Amino acid sequence: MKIRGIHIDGFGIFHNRSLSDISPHLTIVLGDNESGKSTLLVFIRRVLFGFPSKRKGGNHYEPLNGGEQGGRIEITTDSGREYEVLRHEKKSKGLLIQDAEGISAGNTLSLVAGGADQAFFENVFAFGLGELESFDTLSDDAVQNRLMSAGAGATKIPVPEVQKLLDKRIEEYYKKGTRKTRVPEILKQISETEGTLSTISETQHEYDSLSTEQREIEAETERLVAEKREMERSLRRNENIIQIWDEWVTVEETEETLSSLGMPESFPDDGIHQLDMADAEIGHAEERVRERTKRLGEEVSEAEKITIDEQVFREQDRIRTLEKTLPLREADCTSLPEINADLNVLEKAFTALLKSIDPRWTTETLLSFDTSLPAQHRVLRYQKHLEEISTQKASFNRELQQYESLLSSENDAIERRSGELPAGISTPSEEDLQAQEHALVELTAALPALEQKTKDLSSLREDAAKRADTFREQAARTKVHLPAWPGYLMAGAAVAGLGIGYVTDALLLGALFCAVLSIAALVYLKAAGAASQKSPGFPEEETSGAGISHLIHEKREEITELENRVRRLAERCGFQGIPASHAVSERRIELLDLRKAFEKRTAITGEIAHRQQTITGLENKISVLHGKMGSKDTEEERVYAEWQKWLDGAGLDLSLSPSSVEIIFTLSERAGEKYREMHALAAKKEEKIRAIDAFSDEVTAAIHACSISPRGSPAADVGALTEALEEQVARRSTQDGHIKEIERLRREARQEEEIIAVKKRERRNLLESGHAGTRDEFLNHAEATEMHKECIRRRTEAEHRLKTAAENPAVYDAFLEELRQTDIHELADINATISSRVKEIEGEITILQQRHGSVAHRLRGMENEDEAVLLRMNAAALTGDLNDAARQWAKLVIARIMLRKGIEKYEKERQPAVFREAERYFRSVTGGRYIRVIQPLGSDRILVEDREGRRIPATLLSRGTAEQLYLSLRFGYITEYGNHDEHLPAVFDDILVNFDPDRRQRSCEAIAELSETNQVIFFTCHPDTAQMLQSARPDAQLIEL
Amino acid sequence: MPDNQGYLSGIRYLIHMGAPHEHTLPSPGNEIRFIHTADLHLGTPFTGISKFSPEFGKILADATYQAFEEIVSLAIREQVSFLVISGDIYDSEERRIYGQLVVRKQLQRLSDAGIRAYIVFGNHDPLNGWSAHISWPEGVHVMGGDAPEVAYFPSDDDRRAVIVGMSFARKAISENLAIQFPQKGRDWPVTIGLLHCTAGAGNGHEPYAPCSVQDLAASGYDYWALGHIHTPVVLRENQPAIIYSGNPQGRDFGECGPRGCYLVTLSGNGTGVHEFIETCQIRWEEHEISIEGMEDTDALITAIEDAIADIRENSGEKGTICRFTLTGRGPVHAVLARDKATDDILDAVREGECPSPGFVLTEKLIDRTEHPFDRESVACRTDIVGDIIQISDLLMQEGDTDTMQGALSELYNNARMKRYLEELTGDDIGALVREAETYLLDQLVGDDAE
Repeated sequence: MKIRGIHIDGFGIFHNRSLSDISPHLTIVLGDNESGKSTLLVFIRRVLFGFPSKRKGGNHYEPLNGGEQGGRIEITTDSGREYEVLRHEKKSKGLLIQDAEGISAGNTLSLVAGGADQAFFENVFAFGLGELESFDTLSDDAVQNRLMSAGAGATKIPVPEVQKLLDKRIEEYYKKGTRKTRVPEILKQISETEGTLSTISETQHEYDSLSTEQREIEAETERLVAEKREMERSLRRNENIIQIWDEWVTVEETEETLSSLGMPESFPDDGIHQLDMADAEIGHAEERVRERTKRLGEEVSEAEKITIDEQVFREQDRIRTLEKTLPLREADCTSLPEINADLNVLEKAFTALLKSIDPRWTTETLLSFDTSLPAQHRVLRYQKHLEEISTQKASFNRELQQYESLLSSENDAIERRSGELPAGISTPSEEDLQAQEHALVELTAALPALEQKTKDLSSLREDAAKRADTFREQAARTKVHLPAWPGYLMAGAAVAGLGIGYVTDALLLGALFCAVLSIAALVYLKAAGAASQKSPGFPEEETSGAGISHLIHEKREEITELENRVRRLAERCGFQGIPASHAVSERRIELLDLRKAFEKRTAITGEIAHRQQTITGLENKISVLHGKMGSKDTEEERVYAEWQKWLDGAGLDLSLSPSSVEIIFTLSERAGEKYREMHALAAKKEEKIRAIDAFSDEVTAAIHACSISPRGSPAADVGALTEALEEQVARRSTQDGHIKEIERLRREARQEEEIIAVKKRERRNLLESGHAGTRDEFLNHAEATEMHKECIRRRTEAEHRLKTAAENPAVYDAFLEELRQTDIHELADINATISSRVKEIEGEITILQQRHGSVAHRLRGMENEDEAVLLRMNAAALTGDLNDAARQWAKLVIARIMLRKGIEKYEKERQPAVFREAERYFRSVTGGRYIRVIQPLGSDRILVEDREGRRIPATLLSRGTAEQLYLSLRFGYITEYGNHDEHLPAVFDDILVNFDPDRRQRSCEAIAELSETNQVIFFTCHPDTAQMLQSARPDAQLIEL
Repeated sequence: MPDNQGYLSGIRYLIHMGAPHEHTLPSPGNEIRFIHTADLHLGTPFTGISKFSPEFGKILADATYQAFEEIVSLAIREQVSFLVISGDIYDSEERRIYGQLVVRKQLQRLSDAGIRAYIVFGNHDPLNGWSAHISWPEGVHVMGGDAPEVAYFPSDDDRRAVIVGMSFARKAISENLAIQFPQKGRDWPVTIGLLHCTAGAGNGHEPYAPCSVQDLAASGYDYWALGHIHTPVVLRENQPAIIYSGNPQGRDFGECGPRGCYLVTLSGNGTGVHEFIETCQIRWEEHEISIEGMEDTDALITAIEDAIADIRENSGEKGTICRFTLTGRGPVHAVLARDKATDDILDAVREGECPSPGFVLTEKLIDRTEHPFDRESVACRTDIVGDIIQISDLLMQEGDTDTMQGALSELYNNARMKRYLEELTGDDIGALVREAETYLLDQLVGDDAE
């Protein structure tokens, strides 16, 4: 692992401080005292291994300048992976390891630091002078464990911990002299199980004896039970006798009484009671008769006192009717004023409505006004029709306005555009313009041709002259004959091309084509002419001069022709004669302007024409609309005339509109309703008045009929009539009541007398049945009979109990005889004796039953073998477990033996590697003065051997040399550790202060050598030490705090 | 002969014993049919197994009784003439009362069905052992121990078969009892010899009453019903057939394979058939499961459960006690190496198993797995890990057991423990060395050895 950068949030004097230029080999941090060197060392330790508890003493390096205590260290592992190790003092933050992308890689320091822990790191890798001075820190167990494990190569658990684990596991299974381990516990369970089994086995032999005992107990129990049963039977029998002794006495006594008692032949059952009942009933009946008779007289007397007025009764119906109708008539009287008031209101409303409809209207008018639905619909139709016409006319008007507006705008546009027509320029017609343009194009093409031809002609002429001279010379040399027809062909093609260009409106192209071919023809002909001069074989060419002359002639003709043509074209273009080229160009420009003007004019005129067409269309539409408007007006007048006629017929104002008439309909209907209401109310009023009068007449008649004085008002009269009637009715009712009561009393009296007669007859019969004439005699007979019955009853009951006591009817007589012979006084003593014996037997039986239960239980236990088999199986299973546990123990013991051998081998063979490394460093640091470092086997002492072979204990060395030794040992450990685990950075805090310059230099060289394998960060306040380190390692990084 | 590799309960193996008439089955008219069983060891506890639930314990405890009841039921169903039991009905001289009552009850069933029983006792239940005074039902004949006893079936007056047998008078009989048996009489019908003995090698059993096959054959009997060897074996097919019926219920993992009795049919002319019929209620099976290719314990548990399902499917509703030995290399080894890991897995696979027909009770998981790494390359490491492997090899080569025996004697020579602990042989020590090595490597490096 190598530190790439340190970032401190807050720690001691540092706040938000970073060191990022740390060398992977040697970094020297130079700073004065209190510049923070030790702080940095401690920061590295704390970030890697944690912050100590605040409760512990010591310097906690609180952030003095702010920030959160903690920070991060960027590291690179031996395998090349880059991480950030973050830690803050706050527990919630803890250790966090992130990879290069910031993704958490966990919080296990071993990920980056291998198997090192804090003690190991602080004592071996990151230490200051204090640790260096004491070798004890190196001999610390934790350090030694890590070293051994490092040397051992184990990564999971340090070897000493494995040793401890083995010892612990072994003791868990078995330790001599200890019972609370697995093996002895299993053994104990086995012993207990076998003990139980043994008990079961021992008891098995008792099975037969127990079976026999069980049988004996059962026999004895049976015998005792039989004896007890017999005794209980005797006891019961004796108790029985005692219990029924009174019964026996009763039987004897009743026999005696019956024999002495005289009795009538027969006597009715319950005779006395019957006699008493009869007498009582007769008495009651007679009493009731008397009572009724008395009341009868009273009722008759009362009935005779009441008098009835028959007249009033005769008027009863009338009076009832008057009574019923009185409230109605009174209500009628009460309501009349109200009716009158309502009637007045209605009349006023009606009148107002009529007036609102039309002041001239009368009731007849209203009644005759047709408000039927057809009439209303007709009015509605008129309304709709007129509205329709109005709507259409409005639409036409809108349209008309629209058209007129458009018309106006079109006219304005025409006027405006007419003003835009180009003035002062007389444009030719399209055909003229085109002709001029074509002519100009041709002219443009022809002029150069003409020029060329002219030039050609000149050339020809010159050439002719020359050729005439040379021809003669050459004619002698070469006689070449070229036909002339290709030249003529080309000339013809040139003309044809021009014509085609003219026809196809590609005059320029045609002219060019013509020019090229003409030139070619000319050249050819010239050549041909020259050739014919040379060659004597060309009969056409007599002399070069003749050919050329022909050409010249032809050329001249062509020129002439072309000139004529050019003149015509120029004339067409408005030139006089053959114009110059520049004139043609100017003309072209003029024609272009003309073309533009022409086109503009054409556009404007075209637009004007189009607008005029539009105007025409608009005028037509307007005209049509006017026609429609006229039609609508006509129709409106017609409909309106009809409407007026209808109004007149309805008697309405002719100025009314249909919507107004609708209102009139509504008002008419309302007025009609009012009228009807009014009429109905008046009828009602008349009816009430008639009813009131009739009622009064009726009342008067009734008063007279009943001879009652009138009271002044119909209501009072009716009240008097009603009272009179009620009174008479009450009297009649009372009288009727008396009469009914009289009849009832008489009837009941007769019934009672009949009952009395019957009861007397029954009494006589009862007395006769008891053989008595009188009551007293009858009672006497009854008493005798009762006594007889009682005796019989008592005797019967007693005999019944005796028979019950005897139990068996067959032995009843013997039982009775026994009773006769029994002395009741002795029996109690006998029973006491028997009871005592029964109790004894019960006790014996209980004991036997308990014993039987116990024996049966034991036998059942032996017969139900479940427990024993299960126990034996448990014992076998436990034995198996014991063997398994013993085997586990044996395995662990063997493992411990093997591990011990491994450790011995390590101590013998591998640990010396540390000292060999240490030796090398020590030899180098001391300049060869000391050559060996030794740790004897089984001892933790260190010896050094000088070059003379003397062995000196480390404790006897000088301080500086001892420190050098301890430093060398640490280097040895660091080197050896790195061979088996992660290379950790070595952090030294000014550890060379006690070294002399020479040894300091060598130590620096040793540190430089160490930095080859392990990153070294060296803190110092001594610039010379820093220089030495830089000399030893030129690429060392120097950081100044 | 029943196939020892598979379990084919209910399938009968017909073995033709006949000559002179090779393809002739005995005629129904004068044939004798009987059941031959032996070594019931009623009430014997199952051994060599680890702790189990009380419910299963009850089933295991009843297994031998159930097997005997099944034999009696078979005899009644088949309406055989009699049942012969060739010794070791009980597991010890101290005959359990419950066992005696069971025997009595089952023999009473036979008696009620009109079936006789001829019994000899063996070394585990000799005549001089203790027994309760329980009377035998009618029709039960127990052979004496002084000399071979001849019994006629069904009676002296009606001799349709002769049974000659002799019980063990005492536990350790070292003499040859077979030669004491009388020769078959001329007028004797089918003759069956009944003896608890060691005929031939013995197969690990105590060599009580040793004899040879020739000794038995020389008697001229038609059938020898032997007892003492627990594995059913036919020593001789015919003339006479000499058969060990084996015990009807295996008691431990050393008694795997089908267990039952023989249904024998003999005819008057000496021909006959004998059929093996399985009667055991519980079977014993051992299986290996390799952890090769398994990534985690879930895969292992699934493999175990699959194996259990296969066993259950083939069990024919018989219960099975099985043991799995885990072998191979793989990452699962690291999990198994943890303390009580196999116990936890055992609990997991046992969960839900209840004592119902076709149960499969996993008795134990034995961890013989190894690390996934290459031992040879790790042995080359120049650190304590490599040293331990080298030390392990050295111990194995040199057989340096003295040091280890000395260390182990603290427990194994303990007077109280010795009674129960099995002695460690050299092979055991060797296996322990390897286990110790595995254990140490688990602790020191886990899976990161390479």
